[in-house]
Formats: sequence, C-alpha cells, structure tokens
Amino acid sequence: MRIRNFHPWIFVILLPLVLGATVAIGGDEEVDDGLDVWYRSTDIAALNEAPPTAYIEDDAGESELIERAFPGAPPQIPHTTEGMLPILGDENECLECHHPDNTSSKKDAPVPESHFQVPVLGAGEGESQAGMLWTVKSYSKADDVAGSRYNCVMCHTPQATGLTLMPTTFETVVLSEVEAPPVESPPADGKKKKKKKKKKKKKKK
Amino acid sequence: MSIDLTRRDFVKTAVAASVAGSMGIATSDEAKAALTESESGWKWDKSVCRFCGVGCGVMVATKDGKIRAIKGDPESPVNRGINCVKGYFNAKIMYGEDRLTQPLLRKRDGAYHKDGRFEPVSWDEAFDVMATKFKEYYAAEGPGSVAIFGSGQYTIDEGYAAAKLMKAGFRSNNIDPNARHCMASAVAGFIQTFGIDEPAGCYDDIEHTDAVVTWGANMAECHPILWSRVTDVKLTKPDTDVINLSTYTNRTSDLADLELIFKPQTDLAILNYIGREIVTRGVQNQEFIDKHCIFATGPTDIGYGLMADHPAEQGQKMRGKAGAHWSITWDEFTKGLEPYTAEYTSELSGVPVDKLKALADLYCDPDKKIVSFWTMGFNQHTRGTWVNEQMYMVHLLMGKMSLPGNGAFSLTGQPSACGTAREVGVFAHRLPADMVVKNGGHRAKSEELWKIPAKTLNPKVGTHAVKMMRALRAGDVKFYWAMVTNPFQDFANANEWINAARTGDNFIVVSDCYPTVSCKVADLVLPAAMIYEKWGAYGNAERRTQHWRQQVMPPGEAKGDLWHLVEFSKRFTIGECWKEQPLKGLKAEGFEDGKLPDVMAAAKEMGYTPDQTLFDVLFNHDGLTSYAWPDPIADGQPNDIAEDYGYFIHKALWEEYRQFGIGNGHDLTDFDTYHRVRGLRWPVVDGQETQWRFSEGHDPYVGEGEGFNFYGKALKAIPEGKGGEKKKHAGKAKIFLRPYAEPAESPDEEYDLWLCTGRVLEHWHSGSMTKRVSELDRAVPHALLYMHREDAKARGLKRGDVALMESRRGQVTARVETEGRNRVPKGLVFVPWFDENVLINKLTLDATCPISKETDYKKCAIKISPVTA
Repeated sequence: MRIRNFHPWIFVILLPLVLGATVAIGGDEEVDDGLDVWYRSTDIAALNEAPPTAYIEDDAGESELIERAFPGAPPQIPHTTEGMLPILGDENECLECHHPDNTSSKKDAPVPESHFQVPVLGAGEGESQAGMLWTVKSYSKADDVAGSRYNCVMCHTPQATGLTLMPTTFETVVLSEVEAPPVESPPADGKKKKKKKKKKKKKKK
Repeated sequence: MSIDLTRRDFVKTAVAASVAGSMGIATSDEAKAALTESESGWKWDKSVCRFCGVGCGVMVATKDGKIRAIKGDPESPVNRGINCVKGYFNAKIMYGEDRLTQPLLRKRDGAYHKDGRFEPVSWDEAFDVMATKFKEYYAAEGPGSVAIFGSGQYTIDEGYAAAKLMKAGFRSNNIDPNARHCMASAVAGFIQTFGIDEPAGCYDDIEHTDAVVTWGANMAECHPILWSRVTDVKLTKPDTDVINLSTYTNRTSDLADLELIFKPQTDLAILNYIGREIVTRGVQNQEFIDKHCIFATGPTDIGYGLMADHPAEQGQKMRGKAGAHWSITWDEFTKGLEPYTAEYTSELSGVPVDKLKALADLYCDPDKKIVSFWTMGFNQHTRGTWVNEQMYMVHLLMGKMSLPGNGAFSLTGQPSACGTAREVGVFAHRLPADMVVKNGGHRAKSEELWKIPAKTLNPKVGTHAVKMMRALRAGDVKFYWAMVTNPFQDFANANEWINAARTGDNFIVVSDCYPTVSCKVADLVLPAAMIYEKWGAYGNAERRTQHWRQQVMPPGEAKGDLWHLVEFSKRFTIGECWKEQPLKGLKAEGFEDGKLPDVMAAAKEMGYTPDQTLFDVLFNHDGLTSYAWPDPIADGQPNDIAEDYGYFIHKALWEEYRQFGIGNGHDLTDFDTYHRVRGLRWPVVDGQETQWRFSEGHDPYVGEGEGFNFYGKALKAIPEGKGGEKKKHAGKAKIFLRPYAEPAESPDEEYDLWLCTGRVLEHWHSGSMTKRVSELDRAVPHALLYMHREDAKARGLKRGDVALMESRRGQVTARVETEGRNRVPKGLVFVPWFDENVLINKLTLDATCPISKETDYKKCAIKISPVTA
C-alpha cells in the first residue's frame, strides 16, 4: 500500500479536534470522544439567550458591496431584503434597482452583461433525433435580462451576521478591479432612467 | 403533432429571446474571465456540479494544486453557462479547515475499543482493525452479518466497485444506497409500469411543452437550474401554464399561474380525480391505450413498512406481498375511479373544486402538451410507488408520454442516484443494467462478466437501507460501512439507530470528508477525497452520463472511496469468501436451503488459487490492468489512485461495467468519448444519444411503424385478474388503478400538527459540505421551523422564538419562522433537515412505501411548545 507524504499541517488541524471535543450527538448528552462535529450550540438555554439570526440590516443603496469570493462568483446581498421578496412572475424588486437602466454607478451593482446573454441552440453533430438534438452553439445578447437569470435569489442571497464560521483554506486572486461589470454612462440629465420592468402579467386562474 | 412543428416552435422562441447580434461562445463569462491578467496560470477544465440531480456542467480553475474558481460551463446543454449559488460555491466545499485527513479509530489503552476516544491511526492500522472486525462477524455468521450503506453520490466507478466487492467478493447483497430514501418509489413505479427504470423524457421537454405541473417538487429550491429554464420559458412564452401542487406555498409557487395546496397524502385522490375526469369526459387517447397499454391493480392492505408490532401494521394482510399486481378490464378500472368526484376529492384534499377543475382541464386537453415533474413529495410517501404509477396513469390515458414536451418526469434528488445507485444497481436486490439478484439468468450473465464461478452470486435479496438499521438494532447486521452519506443524520426515527450503533456488538465504519454526525457515531472514520480530487462520473435525472477528470490531489492522507474499497479487498482471500457460507432464510432454485455453496472447485478450474485475494480476482486481473496509466485522455491531469495501482482503474472499471448494458436498452459508450462531450443520454447507440425513450424516431429500440414500444422486460407477465393465469404483455405499459389510503400517522389531539421535512436551496443534504462555505452558511445558518402565524400564536410563540418540537420518537428545538420562503398552511410545519443542530429526523417516522421501502419524510405528527430555559 502506498501512502503519500504526510503534511505537518494535518497535526495542526487535528489537534484541536482531538483535544477539545465535548459535543453531543444531537444535543442529548455530551460525550468527549475526541471528535468535534461542527455544532454551534446544542444547549437550549444558550439558544434561548442568543438573539435570533440577524441578517445585514443596511438599507439598499447605503451598504458596502461584499467582495466576491472569487472571480465570477455571484456577489452576495449586502443589504436588507425585508419587503423585497418573494420574486414573483410579474414583480421583481431586485431588478427595479439593479437593472442597468436604473443604475448610475458601479456602486449600484448593475446587472452585468452576462445576464443578458441567452444561448443560441442548434442541432448537434450528426443531425440525430430528426434534428432535435440541441447543443449550445453560441450566445447572443437579449434586449432584457435573460429569463434564466430572473430568479435573483437563486445565486444572490442575504447574509447573516455575527456567526462563528468554519475557517477556510480556500485561496484565490485578489479581486479588486477584477471583472468590474461594464457600466453604461449615466444619461446626460443625470437622472436615473425609468425602470424597465418586465412586461409579464401573472395569469391567475 | 409533428416533430418539425415542435422544432419550429422552439427555434422561434429561441430567436425571439435573442434580439441583438450573435456574440458567440468566445465572449462568454467563462472565457472572458479566463483572459484577465489576474487569473494567468489558471487551468480550466470541464467537470460537473457536486450537488443535486440536475447535473449541471461546471468549469473548474486550478493553479498550484488548488481550486481557484468555478463557473457554469457555457457549453453544457443542461445549464447553459449558469449555476445556482451552491453550484458556484463548489469552488470552496473542499476547503473547510476541518477536513478529515487521517483515519481516526476509537481507542483505549492503545487498542481499538468501542467506547474509546478517536485517535489518528495509519491506514494500515485502520484496515487491520476493520478487516479483523469484519472477519470476526463474517466467519461466524456469514454474508448476512455485514453491510455497506452506499450513496447516490458515489461516482459510478465507486458504486460499481462497492457492488462488485460486496456481491461478487463477499457474496453479500447487503448493500443499499441512500438513494433508497430518495428514488426507490420512482424506481418501483418505473419497473412496474414500463419494465425498465428511469425517465422516458429529458430536460428538453421544458422548452417543448405548453404546461409545466410540479407535484411535490419545490423545483425553485431543489432543482434551481431546471427551474431557471422553466422560468425562462414562462417569461418568454407567457402562455405556458405553470402549476404547483404542494402541501405548502413555496418559491415554486411564486412563478406559478395556479397553486393547489392539498392536505398531506391526498395527492392520491387528486390524481384519481383527474383520471376520472379523463374517462368521464371521454377524452382518453383510445388508440394509444389499445395499442400500447394494459390496465392493472394490486392489493390494498399492504401496511406502511413499519416494524411488525406497530399499531398501523395490524390487520394489514398483504404486508410483504405489496408488489403483487394483476391485469384488470377497462370497466373495472373506470369503476375504481368512480368515487373520486370533484366534490369528494375537494373535501378530502382541501383544494377548491374550481382549482381541481382547472387542473383537470389542462390534462384533459388533447392539444395541450404537458410535462409533470415530481420529486420527494411523491417518492417519500407511504404510497410512493402508487402515486408514481398514478401520474403515469394520467399521462398514459391521454397518450401524453415519451414525446417532446409531453411526459411524466420523475426528477432525481442526488447527482448520481440515476447514474450510480440505479444504473449500476447498488441496491440489495439489483445487479447492473436493471438486472436483479433473484434472476438466475441475470446472475449467470454477471458471473460471466465478472469472471467469477457460477453460483458465487447470492440469489437472496439483501437487506434494504431501512431494514439494515433495524437489523443493526436487532444484532443481525454487525459490520456497517457508510460511504458518501450521513445515515445517522438522515434516517427517520434517528434516535433508535444512533443508540443501536453506539451500544450494540457491532463495528461502524464511516468514509467521509468532514466530521459528521455519522462520524461521531462511528468506530472508525476513513478520510475521503472529494469530487475534484478524483476521477469520476455521475448520471443525472435525464439519463445523461458525465465524466470528469481529477483536478487536484486530496489533502493529507485522504483518498477516494474507490481506493477505500479496493484496498480493503486486499485483506481477503477467495478461499475465505467463496467457501460454503451460511445464509439465513436462503431458498432458491439450484441452492441448498440456508447455504451458499463452496465454489472453490470451479474457481480452481478457472485458474484461481485459494490464497488469491479479492483484489487479485476483482480489481487486478489482466482484463483490467491492460488499461494503461498514464493515458493521453488525462491531458496532464493527476490520478493518485491510478498511480497506486499502476493502471487506469477508472477507465478499466468503466469499460467492464458498460458491458452489462450493451444491447439491452442501457447502452453506454466508451470512456474517452465522455471526456470529449458534455455528457450523453443513454441508450447511446451508434454514437447517438436518446432524448425520448419508447418513442419511434427518437429511441433506436423502437422499430419502424411501431409508434411506441414500452420494451422494458421486467414484470411483463402478470395474472389475468386476481389469481388468474399469467399472461405476457410485451411492449405494453401498465395503467394502474391505485386507491387513496390513509397516512401511517396523522395529527391527533396530542400530536396535533403535520411535520414535513425537506431541503433549502443553499444547503446540500446534511450540510457537511455547504455549511463549510461561508456564503452558504451565512445565507441559511440554521434550520428554521416554518409555521403558520396563528398556529404559533395559539402556542404562545412568535417569529424568532425557540420552540420545542416533539413526536412520539424524540424531541428537538428550533426557531420559529412565520414568514419567508415557505408559507405553510395552518396545521402543518416545515423544517429542513440540513442542520446537525436541528436533528429533525429524531422526530420523523420510519414508515415506508411497502413496495419501494422508501421512507416517508413528509408526514408525521408532532406537537410544539415554547421552550423555557
């Protein structure tokens, strides 16, 4: 059996696990068995005293952008979303502020160009399945945010504060100035354009 | 409907959506970003997402042996360049600081002890102790005493190696996946209806259809990228109908035109109501039915898969014979539907009559293309097999099946529940490619392909997942190895099994990448490599098989699960395993009762010697080792496991595995091809994939002039009427009559609320990976108790309070949420199960569908009160 070389940092990680683990299985009874499962709190009294999870409360427009985790990572929401969700078929509060038509600077986090791209599908090689086997041939620019990107909270989520997080060893490049989304010049009169809302009516039956 | 018309519809839509000039792939996000200076030195390679059953393609960037970024694969036909939030953060899942990097064994005074503390040990010591404990039980009690609990998140090669080691090596069928909790009802529905597993249609149905109906599937959170495709269709073709059926309002409702909130379990009645409407209105597709379908039904007093002494099981005479079924006439079928009037169904389900009628109008319209999606709401159901079959009943009556935009589409939960668990057959009753251990012909074919003696394979169905836990408690299973899954957080009625594992005479092994609840319950923890630290393949919900290459090396001493299995096989000789073995309850043609025969004489004739190891005969013979490593297809990517064995084991196992499916409807193509394409949907015949199975012009197994052919081979011969002579119905699908049945446990005076469990978008399963990504952890740090405001108020609770939830089986606390994404009706609460701090499965009931043995995680009775510290 071949074992690769052992990295010394493993000891650094394992040591606290081995020494400091007094954790219950599901909170019933605490057993020090040397293995620390990533519980935050299993103590009902402590849970009662701790305040409920608080999400960032800054108002939209007043908050600092949260740096992306890596180039191309979806930025997370740095402001409160109270009253802005859910996103409905005919009502999307996110786009009301972040649609490029309604933003004036990078700080407004305009929806980037990538979100206007839609796939152009075409028959794959061999023209099988009576020409119905589609592959992505290219992308083209649509005149509005792609429908597939409409559900903003699929990628952009409100973020809680005051948590103890598991540290990460993930490293990437310094992100400043990387992938700055293209921003249209503000209109000459300096006012924001009227929001461009999707013209989709929700059909109620 | 002609195919050309459908295609024109689609092209028109695609054009309408793309107004400005073509930009081409070269300027997609991925390529643009790759050009920026800061990312110089990054290598991009295609791979797949680690999480749900959608099976999105991702591009992985690596530099200096670490993942640096992940993006949606712009060439992927599944996700077309985008991911959901979990998909993007695949980049960070491997880098939680508490990765397991060494085997950990419970020890006291320097030796293994059940009540010892975990100490780091070498792989040699880990395998020594593991093999000693295995042999202690195996030698005394035979193959029935050992078990592997596998996963729909195994790569295909891992699942294949696990099944081969257990079935061909140890001669035990006690291997079952967590997919039992996820897809078993779908499988049973497929096998009973079509005779072959997995969906007829594909994701392209979304762009072809006129109406999307979701049944017990919160696609917006659980299949987000598929939902983004539905959303795109809805916004660009507003006439498309979107209907959500659920027991509570959720994000999928937010896009829907129509929402039907029904009382738990009454989906059974609603489907029968639709069936009744179809036949009452006389709109059924008679030609389709006459040519391609028969009618069938089965026993009704089949119980709830609970332990025999449970009150709900009393008087259920057909427990154990739940899968029996026989053909019935059209008149018997329509008579069976007769009670399900709109009024009766409305009263039972709580859905207003006008909403029921609107839904029926859609299904009854012969010109309306319709695709029905479902997931755990149907599958995790004490009548899961029935409700799957009822969905096919509705589609088959209308002939809306196996056509572009028309079909009943069972979505899968895990990334390789289809590709690994189902197709490889990592189940107690299955062999690869839909073959089963009970069938002598199937065993013989498998023995031939595996190059093992006749009668090595065990004909007795092994213990399924739920039974495995019960057997652990009863002391019948003593060696339990969980891989790529977290059973002690996942199983309903969790307290029982945690206690059994910790207090019994048994040995629990857990292979995992992070310390989980199950690691805590284990006696031995084996550190596992994660997705981009190994080669692998997954098969998604539309039958698309996707392979990827290893990107980086695993940390410390962690190794892929394939290596865990193969290394373990080195510690057993065939002489130990292939001798006569006791097997309680074995009764099969050609076998002595209660015994597996000694097959060493035949083994010797094949050139084997008793001292050869299972490794030698299963994983190291010439047929496999001829696949050389390095291989040009690697293009410089690493493969630590191939380096260890001196040959390309992943490719070798793939090429061996795919022999099982060739020519019988499960054709997969060669290893290298998958590394050049963005996945292919099986059957892949003559290099062409299949989008719509059973349908002429789409499926190579359907002949010219047949129109449709439901060619699955299983369960085609059934009695003509109850107790009648068996008759074979080759090529036919079965339209099942299945009645409404009461749930196994309903709210009463004391336990007065329904508990439904499920997922949230931001976390995967038990959270072991996603809770280590700060963005995902911050998004949803705790499992909340979603509760109606008035239900909360009546119990002295309000939003943000800590509540105590209790069932007959356990108790757990969580904070009350009366707003937000899940808006529950009065009388029902919803709690997600990802949070190890809120071990909700201590409350859930281990009732299963008696046919599929899949647990119902959606319905049990609980009570809620305020907590006072």
